[in-house]
Order: sequence, then structure tokens, then C-alpha cells
Amino acid sequence: MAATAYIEELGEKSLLPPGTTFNDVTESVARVTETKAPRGWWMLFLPSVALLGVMVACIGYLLSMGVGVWGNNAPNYWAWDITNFVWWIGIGHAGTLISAILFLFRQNWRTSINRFAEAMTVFAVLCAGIFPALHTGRPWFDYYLFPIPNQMAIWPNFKSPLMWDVFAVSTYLTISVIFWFVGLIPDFATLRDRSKSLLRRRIYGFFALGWRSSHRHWQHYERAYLIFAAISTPLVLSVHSVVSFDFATSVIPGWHTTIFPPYFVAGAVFSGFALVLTLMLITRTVFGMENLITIKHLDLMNKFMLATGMMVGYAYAMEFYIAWYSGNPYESWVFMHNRLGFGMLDSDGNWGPLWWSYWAMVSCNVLAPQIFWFKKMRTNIPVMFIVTIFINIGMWFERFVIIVTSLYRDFIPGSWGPFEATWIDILLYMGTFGLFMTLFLLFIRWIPMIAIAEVKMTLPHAHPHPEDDHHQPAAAAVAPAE
Amino acid sequence: MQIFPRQLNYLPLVLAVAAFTAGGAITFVFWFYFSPKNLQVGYAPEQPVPYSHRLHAGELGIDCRYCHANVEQSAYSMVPPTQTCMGCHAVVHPESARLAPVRESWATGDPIEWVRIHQLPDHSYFNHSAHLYGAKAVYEDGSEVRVAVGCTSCHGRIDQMEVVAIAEPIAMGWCLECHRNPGPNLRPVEEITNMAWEPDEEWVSHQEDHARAVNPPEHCNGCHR
Amino acid sequence: MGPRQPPAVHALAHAINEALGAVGRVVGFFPPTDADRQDVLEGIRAFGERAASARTILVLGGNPAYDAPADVDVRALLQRDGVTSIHVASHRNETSELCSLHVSESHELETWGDLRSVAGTLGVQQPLIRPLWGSRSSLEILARVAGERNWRGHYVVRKTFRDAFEERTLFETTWRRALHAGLLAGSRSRPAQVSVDGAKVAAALAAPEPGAEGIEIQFLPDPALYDGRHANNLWALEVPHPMTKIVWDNAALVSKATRNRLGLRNGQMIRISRGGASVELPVWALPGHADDSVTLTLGWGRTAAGRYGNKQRWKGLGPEPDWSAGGFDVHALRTTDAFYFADGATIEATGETYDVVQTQTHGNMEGRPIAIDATVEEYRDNPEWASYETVEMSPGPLWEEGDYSNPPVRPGYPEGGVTAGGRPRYKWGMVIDLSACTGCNACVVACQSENNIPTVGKYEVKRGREMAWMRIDRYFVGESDDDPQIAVQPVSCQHCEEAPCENVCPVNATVHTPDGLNSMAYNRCVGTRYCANNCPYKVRRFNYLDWHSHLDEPWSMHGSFPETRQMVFNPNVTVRMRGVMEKCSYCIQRIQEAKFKARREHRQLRDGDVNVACQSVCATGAIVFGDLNLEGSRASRAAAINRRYKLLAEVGAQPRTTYLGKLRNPNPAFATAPAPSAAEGSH
Repeated sequence: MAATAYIEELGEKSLLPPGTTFNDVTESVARVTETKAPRGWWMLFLPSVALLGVMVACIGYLLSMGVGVWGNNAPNYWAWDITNFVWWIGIGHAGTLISAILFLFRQNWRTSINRFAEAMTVFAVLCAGIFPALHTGRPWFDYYLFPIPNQMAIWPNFKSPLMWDVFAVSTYLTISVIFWFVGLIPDFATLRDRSKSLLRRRIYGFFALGWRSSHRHWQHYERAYLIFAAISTPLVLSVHSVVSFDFATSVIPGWHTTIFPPYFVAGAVFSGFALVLTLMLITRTVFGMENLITIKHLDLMNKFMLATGMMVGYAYAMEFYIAWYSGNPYESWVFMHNRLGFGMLDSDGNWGPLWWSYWAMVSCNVLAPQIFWFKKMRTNIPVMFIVTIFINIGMWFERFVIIVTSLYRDFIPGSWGPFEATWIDILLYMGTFGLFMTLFLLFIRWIPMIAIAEVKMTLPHAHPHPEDDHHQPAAAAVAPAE
Repeated sequence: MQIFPRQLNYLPLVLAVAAFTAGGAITFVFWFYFSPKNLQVGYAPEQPVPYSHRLHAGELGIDCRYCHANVEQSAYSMVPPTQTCMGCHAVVHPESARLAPVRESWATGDPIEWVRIHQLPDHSYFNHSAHLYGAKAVYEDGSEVRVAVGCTSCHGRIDQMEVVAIAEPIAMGWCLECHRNPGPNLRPVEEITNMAWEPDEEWVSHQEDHARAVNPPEHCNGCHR
Repeated sequence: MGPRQPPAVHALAHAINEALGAVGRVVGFFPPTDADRQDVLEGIRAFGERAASARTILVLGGNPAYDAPADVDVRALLQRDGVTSIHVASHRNETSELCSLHVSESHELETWGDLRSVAGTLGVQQPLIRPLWGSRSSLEILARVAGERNWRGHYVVRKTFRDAFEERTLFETTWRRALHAGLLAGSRSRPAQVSVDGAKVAAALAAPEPGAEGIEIQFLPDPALYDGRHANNLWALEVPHPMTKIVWDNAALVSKATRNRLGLRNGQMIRISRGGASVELPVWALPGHADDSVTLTLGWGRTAAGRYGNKQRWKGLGPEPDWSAGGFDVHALRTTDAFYFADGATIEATGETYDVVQTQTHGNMEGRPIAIDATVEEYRDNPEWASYETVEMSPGPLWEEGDYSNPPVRPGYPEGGVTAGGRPRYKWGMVIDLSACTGCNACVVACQSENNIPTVGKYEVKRGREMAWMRIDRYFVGESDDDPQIAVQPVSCQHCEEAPCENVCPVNATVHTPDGLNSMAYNRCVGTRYCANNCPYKVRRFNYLDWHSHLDEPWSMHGSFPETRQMVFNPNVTVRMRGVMEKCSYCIQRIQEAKFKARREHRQLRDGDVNVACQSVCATGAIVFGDLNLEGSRASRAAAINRRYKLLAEVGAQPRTTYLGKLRNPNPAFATAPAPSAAEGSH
């Protein structure tokens, strides 16, 4: 075999420190599930469970009294409820992008972060699902939305974006869970084989579905993974596009715009990466994963955030341009007065009262990530941590701005009305963090948070015959010349 | 190394099949046993007076409208006041023990507390007169006939019931079946109280014309306000 | 001119009428029906004097302890030692609290009575139901006390009629006819021949008395509570003031200049003092109000109105704050010599603030063509100016069956939206004439009563959750801040043919009927509220909480009501539970009932068969509802008037409600001629 230099594709070489062995990987990751949880874990877990209790209490209050315990009113029929829904669903997109799209693009560095991110996707979608289910006035009739046989001989309305949401989100949840689980099978087997107690062996063994690490098993695994990646890839784009249709198909100025699907998807990836990073930065330090999630990984993720942040910034600018260019007075009003604030004053000479939320959004989403142009900043952990938190705040404000600033001052001034959040709005949102963190912390404690098998696949030892790898078409074409 | 016996390999398959079957069974159970067809049809509560429709409407041939007089004029078919009963029973079986509650009601002025059988939820507004007024159907040859829904179409063979029971599942889906295809359920307006009426071929051939005449609402506001 | 104006103003008005030639044509003068009628204020003063030495005081109805002028201290009069005071009234109020005895009086709708109009027509008041609580009417009580043998209302009224009606024969027939018609035909007086004595008018106007220095006070009956008798009526409490849109309270209305001179903001408390008495209430600037003048509305601040009407502090639900409501009593400033107007008052700030709540917080159209108006000149130049300002979009339906301009046809049915009878389908539509609408709120309350619409309380109105299906938007227009004009516009569901709300409901709770109604099926509604978000007119109302029990049993999940409360509900309309969306239904229940009646009579609906609630109470006939497809119907003719326009036509929803633009006819001789609300730059 001629030793012709072949083209190195980005991500082909492992980003892990040279000399990392299979055992290092297994030990680092499995150790977390086999030793007692560090005190830091408990310090986060107990408050999370408390917050979860707060969430349950808020839900109980909501169900017994009604949607009126929130701040929603006329004209702001949606406010925190849908903001939270879209925010959580958006968070989930990072995991799917990392798992599926980066897999298809053969970005091997994803293996250090994909398990973590996919778990967050599943938990985020669960948190998100609470809101559409409970924001309805009569949640016990939510089954009306499903096309099941009924005595009233009527169908739900498939023309409604909310119906599309039902299918999109449930598909997303189903595929994400199954994809995540399939990826976990070899790792559960690893844990099963390392287990000391019978109970552990049985539990991990049950979830490992009898994995023997035989060739056939690996073949099935690889094929299944590929198929799921292929299915999930369009989901990254479609799910949040469908969520954006909730707004884009409406007639309300500020909602009625075709830029929403790409804008929402970019924003979703943006916020998802930000939350993944926020949690990852803590976890890798606390559990000593710096060798598996290296600075190079973080650097790449920051580049993603910069890119998607710029896309989001472009969308903001384009919305403005179109609002001006269209000459539609209602559209311009929403942007100049409701959002910008000072662009158009109302007859009392006031700025739009919610201008501050727009500026919060812009500074957090557009200005903050600009710092990632600088490599020094991209590799600075405290900076990353702060910026990702700002990004998530900014993305929450983005959904809030889209929803409330469009609604509270729309077509007819006689219908205008301010929005004011209530304690229950805030506590329920905080409570979903409790649900998320509880699930997440349990995940970290009991389930391998890095994809052991996949990381191993990126190590040089996993490719003892690199010349047999299939990406050398150029070399193969050249070789016969010898 | 394996910790579970080999047979457990079939477990996922078994679980999947079981889940599927269970899902289907539960759906069916809900769909059938919780349907109005099951819950409503056959409901025959005991009435304060053992009034027999089989005797009065069947054997004696009293027209429905003699007692349920409002049925062609209003939404409700009304239950007759004691006065209607006493119209006959002042002289027919005036001493009968079974009619004692009727006589007592007549004497005191307190109405007989009949147990309501056919009852729609408050958000559904049904109008009897709309089904009975006799819409004018025009045939191709220009002849006209008035069509309406017969009492038995919804209430069954009351003239054969000792105790009135619900004969049809008065549910939205059931109502819509007729509203979406009224032809088979229409009869000449003169025959609405004729319990034994059956359509002949001639009648059946004009079902389309009849349906066009009644034009029943299929939209929500037809019954919901 | 009304009873409030002084004689000089009345004199001037008579002179104007005569100059216009209105006397005998538009204005008629009739001999007084009650020859020994006393001046009201004289009567009050006389009562004050006589009652001071009386041992028994009988109060028939009313509430003098609350609303008597301050110089006649009825409270003290009723509470003196040795005095037996009897209050005959249908509700307990401040007077009942102070009287020794309270006798239940039947409600007006439960009693027999008679009345004579200004023109002399004799009318009969007939009860609708028997007294619910076994009460008696004032008439019956007086008859009984007077020793009449037949004291029951029916006999008394009949006897009065018999006495008034000279022809004894034919009495029964005439009596029955009068009962049927409600009045006695032909009992109208003949108008008197009058002419104005110019010299006296000139003399009356020659020497007007200058008012005292200081602020002028104007006492007005409240538009909703009147003199306070409706204080416990939730509908009256929550119907917004026509101009200020304030609910659940009253405020001192002043001009912007006056308020700014005091250095105050809306809602801050002021103390108005006059002659030793003072009242405190929040100040509110009403654009267009006269300077140095304050308008106070009567009927508020009651202490014994009942559960809802009392001035009180309400408990907030859960973590929500408490709220005060019930307004402020201004009677301390009102004396018999200053019954309608008072002068010489002073205003000062107290430093406190009161939470005043409005249903509409923004009163400017921001240059949008919403309530479109024009001067008569502009109208003559371009009669269709209104539809030019809002360009109607007719893009054509997206789906075949969505073409409601040409209603859908079922297979096998005649083409072109024609019924079996060969006539076009019903096409319901409404026309609202902004030139006729006065913004009086009658339609708002009528709709509330017809459709079982709940009230939500002041705190929830503040949060923006009032439930009225019909709202009247009030805008200040014009260029001058000191002399604005008012534009009012009733807005209810427009029943759009391309309704944005119908597409987005995931459960098909709101769909379009073949005759053009946007129907709302409450029992199907899950409450996602997307329909309300998508409505450009924002006419949909959501039951955020269980409003029917919210004010009485806020913590109950499903309140229980006494039977009398349930009897208020219209049985033909579903009562909605929490979590359900609702909106104007074009009174579908009335349409359905009319349709049933028509079918029973084997005919189509005629014009005038369906009278929706708002239309039937509108005093000026501003609302016209009917079948747009019916040749010659009022609605179709009104919808063709050249002043027509569709609200937000450019959104393309194709509403069925048409508005007729308002015409203004300003007198160029006035100093500030109001400019129309030109929607510059919008199209």
C-alpha cells in the first residue's frame, strides 16, 4: 500500500490528548456512576428537587384555579407560557444537531459531548411539553387535539399550526429518546460488565438489552445509529420551523413574517449550545472530564454559537429592514415603537413600554457572543460561562419579545393592554428548571454522561489500519500509477 | 457476560406485542363501553306512576301529540300536566290504586315528578319542532310533499315499551349521521306518529329530494349556542 | 335642555326653537299632567322642615339617607328619638339601615302601576312575574293603608283607569286593548299653542349672576349607577364610563390644564371643599372638559348598597393584592341651592393615590384608519372617502368551501349558494353607523344580559380581562389638545369570511357556518387561545378564571349559586366555564329561534325577524343587523351606503360587519374647528 498522503478531514483526528487509552475513557466516565456522588452533586440535587416541588405546587394551583393565575390577559393571550415552551424546545435542538447532523458530517469531536447534549434534549423536551399541555384553559380535554376515534364524529383541525406542533414535538420526543437510548446500549453494557453488585448488574443489564459486543451487534448498532441520525437531521430543521409556524402563519404584525423558520432554528441551536456549555463547564470540572471534553471541544462549540448568534442578529436586522421597506404602518409600529421603543413615539410621547426587553435581547444575543471572535476568549472558561448564561437569558427574551411585544400593541389601539407577569409565571418557570436539573443530575449520577463507545471509536487505537478506511478515493485513484 | 437467560431475548418482542394489543384493547374498551351507545341505550328508569306507553300509545292508539302537545311548536316535547291524565282518568279506572299518585297530584296541585329519560347536556340545544314541521320537498315532476322525522327514528318503538327506555344513543356522532345523510330517516309529515310506518320503494327513490328539503345544519351552531 | 340648567338657559333654548321654526313640528308643548306638582327642591326643603317635627316618616322607595342634599339631614331626621320610620323599598339600603321598619317592596317588573307621559298618554305598567319574595308594591301598600277594599295592584290600576275613562260602556274592551298595547290609545293631550315672550327672554339673559370665585362643580347622575340605585348591579359597576372608560369607581373629572396646574397625575387624590364640607376622590383629566370646573358623578361611595356595590376593600386571590372599589360619595357638597351646579369650590391635592381602573387605556388612533370620520365638505367631495382609507382586500378564498361571499353548496344541491326554495342563502351581516352611535353603552349591557356574560371585578379589569363581547372604543381626535373631538366605535366580533381565528384553532371549536357566522362551540374549546391572538380586532374574550363564582367564592372550583342568580341567565345561551373562549355570536340563539319559527310557519325569514340584542336596545338605531342577501332588507341597504368601510380591511379578513363613517359638521364660525382624524401616510 503506497503511503500517499491523504486529505485530512476536519474532525478525523481525535481532539483528545495523545496517549489517551480505551481504559482512560472507560474509567473516567464509568467512575462517576460507580462512586458516591460528590458533595457538589447533592448541593445541586436537593435544591433541584425542591424546585421540582415548587413546580408541582404551581401546576396544582394552575389546574385548580385556571389560567388566570398567570399574567395572561387580553390582548396578551400568550405570554410566559408559550415563551417558556419555545425556549425549552429550542434548547433541545443542540443535542439533536450534535448527535445527528455532526454525525453525518463525520465531526468526530462530537463524541465527547453528544451524550450529554442528547440527554439535555430529552429533558428539555419534557419540560417544554408541560407548557402546551397545561397552558390550555381546560387541560383535561387536551385529548381533543389527537385524531382518535370519538363519539362526536369530528376531526381536529389539521390546518392549525398547533396541531402541527403536536405531531412535531411528539415525533421529536420519541425519536430523541429512542436515538439516545440506542446510543446508550454499548455503554450500559460496559457498566453492566463492570458492576460489582447483582442489582446493578441486573438493572444495567436490562437496559443493555443483552449486548455482547459481537460483530453482528456492532453492525446493527452502526446501521441503527445511521438511520436515526438520518431521521433526526430533518427534525433539527423541521421541529423548530413548525414551532415558528405558530407565529408565522398568524396575521399579527411582528408574527407574520417568513423569516421565522430559519431564524427560529438558528436561535434554537444557539440557545441549545449555550445551555449545553453552561452545564458542561461545571460538570467537566466537578467530575474531572477535562481530558475528554477538551478546550478544543469548547472552542468549536463557541464557534457554533458565534455563527448562529450572527444568524440571529442578521434576522433581527432583516426584520427591521423589511418592516421599514414594506411601508406597512402596523409592521413599522411593532418594530419602531413596541420593540425599539424610541423609533416611533405614541401620542403621549412615550416609548413603547416593553422596549427594555428588546434591548435586553439584542445585547445578550448579538453583542455578547461577539466576544468569541477572539481565540483567547473562546478558550477562556469563566468568560464562556458568563456569555452562555447571557445568551440563554437573551434567547428567553427573544421569545418574550416576539410574543408579547407583538400582541400588546397591535392593530386597534382601543384593544391595547399591558402585560404584567405574576408570581406563578415566574415560579412555574423556575420550577421547570427544577424538573430539568433533577432529571439531569440523576442522569449524570447513574448514566454515562459521555458516549464511551463512541469516544473510543475516535481514538487512533480504534483504527489500526487507517489505510483501509474508506475515505481515500484520491489515493486509490492515484495508486495504480505506481 | 450474560446475567439473564437466553429466553429473555424475546422480552422486547413480547412487550411490544403486548403493548400494542393492550393499547388496542383499551382503546376499544373506551370506545365501546364508554360510548353513549352502551351507556345510554337501554336506560329505563322507574317512574313514579307505572304509565305504560304500550297500553296507551300501542293498544289504545292514542297519538303521541295528545299528551306531548308542544312537540310541533317548541323545542321541548313537554310531559303532560296532570290535567291531561285526569281528562280520561277522572272516569276511566277512577279508583285504580296505580293511579293514586295522579289523583293526588290533581288534588294538591303538585306536579308528578316524572324521571327525565332523554336528556341532552346543557350545551346542546335540540329543537323538536325543527324536526317535525314538515319541510316541503319538490320532486322533479313538480309535485310536493312535506317531510319530517318520525318519532320512532329517535325514540324507538315507544308503542311497544312498557317502561320507556332509550332506544338510540342520543349522541353527537349519532345525530350527525342523520344530519349528514337525512334521506333514510325522513317520512311524510302525516306519518310522524305512525310507529309502524315503513317507506316503500317509491319513497326511497326520492330520498335525495327529501334531504334537500330539510337541509339540516352540519355546522356547530346548528345545535350549540 | 333637561332639568339641570337654570331658567335663563331654558328661556334661550325656547327662543332658539322658535327661531328655527321647530315649535309645533319637532317640539311640542303640552299642558302639565300633574297640576299641583311641586318644584323638586322646594319639596325637599319642605320635607326637611316638616319632618323635623314629625313622629312617623314613611319613605316610599328611594334612598334619601344617602342621596338627599347635604342641607337636609335626612339621616338625623330618621334617627331621632321617638320617631317611627318606615322604609318601603325593594332593596335594603342606607335608608333602611336607619329606619325602624323595612317593608319589602315589589320590584318594578313585579308590580301593577300606571303612568302618564309628558304628552299626556296614559300607560299601564304590568308585571312580568309574580313577586318572587312575597312583597307588595308601594301602590298596594298605600291602597291598603288608605282603606281601599280592593287594594291589590291590578284592581287599583283598573279602577284608576275606569275613573279616567269616562265612557263606562266599552270599558272592558278598552281596558283589554290598553293592556295589550301598554297604553290607552287616544289619551294624548292636545299640544298647547305657545309663543315665546321675547322681552322676558331678553330680561332673563340680561343680568346673569356672576358665579363665585373658585372652581365650579357639576353634579351628574352616573351613566351607569344613575343616582346610586344600581350600585349593587355588577353590570352597572363594570360597564365603563362612556368617556373615561373607568370602571368600579368614580373620579373627579377635570380638564388637563386644571390637573396640570395642580401638578397632579391621573389617579391622585384631591380634596374638593365648598362651604365647610369636603370630599376626597381621585382626579382624572378628561380631554375637552372645561377649565376650572370639576364634574362629580352621584351614586358612588355607598355603604349599604349590598355585597358588590359597597365601598369596600376586596380580598385578592392567592398571592394577588387586595383592591378597593366602590367609588366616592360626593353628596356632602350638594345642597338644595346647589343641586346641579355649585360654585366657589376649592381643590387641593391630598398626596395620596388611588388605583383607578379603565377598560381602555389608550385613547388615540395613532394615525390609523380605525374610527373613520370626515367633515361634511370632505364627504361631499368624496362620498366614499371611508373605503378609500381602508383598502379592501379581496384575494379570493384559499379553499373552495371557504368562499363565504358566495356561500358553499353541497353536492346535489342547487348551484350558487341557492336554497331549495330558489332563494339565496342567508348572509348575516351587521352595519354600525358611527354617525349615529353616541357611545352610550346600552349595547354593551344588552349583550351582557342576553349572553350570560360574567363580570370580573375591578382587579381583573385592571389586568385586562373584562369579558364584554361588545366594547366601545373611544378615541380623542383632532389637532387641538384643548378641544378634542370624540370618536366612538362599537367593536364586536366581525364574523370575518376569511377569519384568522378559524384556521388556527387546533380542535375546530370555531368554524364558519354556511350563513356566514363565525361560530364558537364552547364545549369543544380547549382554551389554547391562539384564535384570540390571531384576531386582528381582539374581540375574543377568554374565561381565565371561573368568573361566575370569582367574586363570591374565589377559591371554589365550581361555584354554587342561589336560584335567583341562575334565573338571571338566558336559558338559550350556554353558560361558559373557565378555560373557554367566547365572543359575539351575532345572537345565534335569536337567529335559531327565528329560523325555527319561520320553518314552523313554512316561510323564509323576513327582514326584521331577527333582532340581535345590541340592535334592539340601540336608541339611535346605529346598529342594523340582517340578511345581506335579502333584497331590500335594512341591513343590505345600510351596507350599501357610500360612507361604508370595513374595519382593518387591508388585513384581508373580509369582515361581515360594515361601519359607516362618521360625519362631522363643524361650524366654521367657532374658534377651533376640529380637524378630522386624517389617517395620513396609511393606506
